[in-house]
Amino acid sequence: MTRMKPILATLMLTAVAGCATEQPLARALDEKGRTESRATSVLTLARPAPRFSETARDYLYLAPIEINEMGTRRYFLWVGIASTLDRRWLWAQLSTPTALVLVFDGVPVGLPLTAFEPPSIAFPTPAPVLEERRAQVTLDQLERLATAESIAVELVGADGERARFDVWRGRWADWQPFVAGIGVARSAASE
Amino acid sequence: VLLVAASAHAQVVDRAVEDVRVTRQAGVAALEVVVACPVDYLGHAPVSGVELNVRVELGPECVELLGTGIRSELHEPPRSTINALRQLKFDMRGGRTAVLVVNVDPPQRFVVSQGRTRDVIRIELAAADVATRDIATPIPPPEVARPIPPPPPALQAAPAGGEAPPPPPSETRQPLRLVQRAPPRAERFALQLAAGPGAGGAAASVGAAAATHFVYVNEHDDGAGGWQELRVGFFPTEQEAREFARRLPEPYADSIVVVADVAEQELAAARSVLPAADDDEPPAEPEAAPLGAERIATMQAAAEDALKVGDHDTAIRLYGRLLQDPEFAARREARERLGVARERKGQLAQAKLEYNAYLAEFPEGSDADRVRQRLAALAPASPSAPAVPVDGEAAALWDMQGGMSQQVLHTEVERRGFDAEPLPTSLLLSNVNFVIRRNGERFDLVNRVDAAYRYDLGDDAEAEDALHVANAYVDVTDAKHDWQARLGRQSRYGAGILGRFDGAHVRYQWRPAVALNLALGLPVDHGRRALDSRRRFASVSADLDRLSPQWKFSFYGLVQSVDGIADRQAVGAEARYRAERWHVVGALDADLSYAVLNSALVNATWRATDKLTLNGRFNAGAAPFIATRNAVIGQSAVTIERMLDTYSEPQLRRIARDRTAQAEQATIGMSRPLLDRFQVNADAGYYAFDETVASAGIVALPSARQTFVQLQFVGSSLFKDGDTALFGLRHTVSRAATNDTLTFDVRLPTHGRVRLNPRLVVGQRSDAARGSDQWITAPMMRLQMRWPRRHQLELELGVRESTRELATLMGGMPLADEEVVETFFRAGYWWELGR
Repeated sequence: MTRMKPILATLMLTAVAGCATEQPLARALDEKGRTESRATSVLTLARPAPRFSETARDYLYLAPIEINEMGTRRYFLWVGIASTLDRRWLWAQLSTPTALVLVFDGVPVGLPLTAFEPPSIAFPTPAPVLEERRAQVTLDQLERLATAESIAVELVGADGERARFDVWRGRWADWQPFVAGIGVARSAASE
Repeated sequence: VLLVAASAHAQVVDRAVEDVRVTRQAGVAALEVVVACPVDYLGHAPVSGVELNVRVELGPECVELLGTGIRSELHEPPRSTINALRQLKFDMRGGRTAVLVVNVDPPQRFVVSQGRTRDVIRIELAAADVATRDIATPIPPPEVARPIPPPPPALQAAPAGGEAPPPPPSETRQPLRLVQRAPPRAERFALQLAAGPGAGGAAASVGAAAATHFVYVNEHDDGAGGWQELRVGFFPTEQEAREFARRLPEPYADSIVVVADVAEQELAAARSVLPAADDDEPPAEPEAAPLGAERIATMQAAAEDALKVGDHDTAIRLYGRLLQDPEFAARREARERLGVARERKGQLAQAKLEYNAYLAEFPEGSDADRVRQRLAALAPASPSAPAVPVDGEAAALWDMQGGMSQQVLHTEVERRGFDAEPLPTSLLLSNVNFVIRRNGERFDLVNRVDAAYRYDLGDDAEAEDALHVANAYVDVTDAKHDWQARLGRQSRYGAGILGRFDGAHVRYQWRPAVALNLALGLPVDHGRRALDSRRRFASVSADLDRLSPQWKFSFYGLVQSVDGIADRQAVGAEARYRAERWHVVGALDADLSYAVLNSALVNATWRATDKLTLNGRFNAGAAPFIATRNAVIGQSAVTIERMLDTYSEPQLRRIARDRTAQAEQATIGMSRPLLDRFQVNADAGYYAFDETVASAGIVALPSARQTFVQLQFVGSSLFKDGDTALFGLRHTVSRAATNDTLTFDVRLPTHGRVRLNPRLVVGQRSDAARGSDQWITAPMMRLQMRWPRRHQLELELGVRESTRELATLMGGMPLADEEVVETFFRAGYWWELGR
């Protein structure tokens, strides 16, 4: 029985871990001493390309990030651009993405995309990410994203082409715990 | 770099003045000079003028930090902070006192005090009266990079053999450094008041509510119509932006707080449609020095040239500058042209404001009428007048697509165990496809040719070289009278027509909801044949497309003859239903002369969820469609005309019925993506054919049943970005045999524009009737290269090996396995016509 105890304990811990809910926030300290908080869930958007393939498509992965640098908090959207299409072969490569347009209930907001500094914690995505960008946003925008009923997302390329993406997996509401989490941290810090 | 002569013990810092902040409280503008260490205010002079001297005493921390040497720092704050402020100097002249020298213009009254903390000196500024200006101290020239005076010769070097020179003075004044604070390099916040096409037009309604801030418009001209963002900024924190939003009128109280990066802040002034007002300062518009007559003339000419050549940015800048000059006389013309430049640049909101400004300044005159017209044209914030076609657009009316390809095919079939030589076949296949379109104002024209030529490269003289023409037609559409005609070899499936024919099809939109069709032609069985006039048909049909948004109906009748006797007399109907998630097609086709149901078809697709699609199909009827010509099936006489020599027409019709089976077919399927890289397709179905009747020397075909299940996985970007992998399994069961086929097909991106496509097919067939098992293995490798653009080269090699284990003969004598090896090679190119 004594030999069985570690095994039983391991099994119980595993079971408990399996029952535990996923934390909405993952935090890490980067090499510059900044605290980075990110949502654990990545929202997946997709755009079909029936002209080229019935099964492959373009993907857009979005996740909110908070970077706290000496008390100054900035918010970003991590933007992972992926495709399972062989666009190079098709002579149909996407132009360099320059902006993300979020349409809140018909009201567009343009977000310039900038180069992404690799995060301390990588975002796992089912399809390989070809390009990473980030867009700086406000807490107000994150709150609207997390509570909006429907949001249209368009990716604007350097050539001016706009590609519309629709939610493929996940919900905008999945970001509510993250927004609430950083809101709590913000309140605690200001007290 | 600031040079400091300080005591050796001091921890010298780079700058004594860390920051110069501007605050506004109750209409009073104030400077808060933040020093790197505590200082105590001692006094200041004068009380008004253009130069203020503030004496401060350095605290002990400052002595430690800055030392007690001589230090001079010159700061030149950006003009946008307080217009009157010119520069600020921090002077340490030895000891523990320092002087802050503040230069302003125009003259100001000064109120100086210790700030809230000991490291801050607060200087309040208020405009002085004119009389003060007269007695004000003139502004000294900026002390920039003043050269160090050379030391007296006596101090430069000791005379040879003389006494050592005296030590240099411990305190030497170093040149001043111009320390101009850079504009803030950090993002701030703004409120997005409205967005969309023409959103900038709402700027006026923001009005006084945002008078203390910049109201500006971001233009997004992305080729998809363009849109604007009307924003007001800027706010140091998001919270302040939110609080400001709450004070705005109702439509803007819920404005979105956005980040305004540095570039947006810098451009805001240029884009601002309502410049930020200052409570107690002159207007924020930069003060401009008089240009002078000569300069005005030069700039005016340059602005006109810029507008002519389409350099709108330059024109806007120059006209804007000219309009600031009080001596500029041609304001009327410049104001209008500034509006034109903005309009042409697509800044419609700003153009409106310029035109309005024009009309406010020059409300009368013919020019004013013209400007009103310009303004009216912008009213709906729509693009200006339709573009006039330019040279070159006419050429774009013609569009040509197509291409050609050639392939060499070589196959060899070897039966192992036999002495016979392998049977080689070599072919050259050439294909051309051309579509030429011309879209006119009234007529649209389409010419299409799809043809192939098959040339036998072998020695076999009996092989047939053949030209195969799939399509060769001219199509004309008349937009004015709503009719369309297609003449030549073409294909059509519907209205009783079963495929390719030579002839004409005309469609006329008789009523908005009813289109009539007439088709006359000669059916074509094989594309390589020229006109075959043995069979002729005429078909009429009516399409009811707009009776309901979701339903479409079609009714038709067709008569067809073969060698002078009736071949088909079909009537039918089709119905199509399309809803958000459903697409259903139902069709009935019956032959009146034979009283046979040719087809009763239902095909449905249901998008159950965003990712799950289900489909089903059921079809029952004749196989093939009943026609008198079916009588030639299996006969050596290949025409009805020759059979009429032997049989009467009623007999031929009886034979045709005997050759036609009744069949049923049903399939169901689903398709669903898994994760982001996989898709699974599954299908199942059955086919059933009733037996035929023996007659005219042709034996009856037995009935047949077949069921199948098929599963397919498709993966993308599994091994390498952009690759595609397909794994398929098919299981088929019939009365005679069971088949299992496994397929693996991968297309791998390799170096550059080369793709490798290995494939493997493995099959197994168990023939219950013959008691044999057959294995088929077919590995293939295809190499594709797509370069240069619109060209593709292909090379393919493959083997198909079949091994059949035959049943033993009666008496236990085993039979040798039957092995057949087929090898093939294909090489070719493909070229797409560029447009």
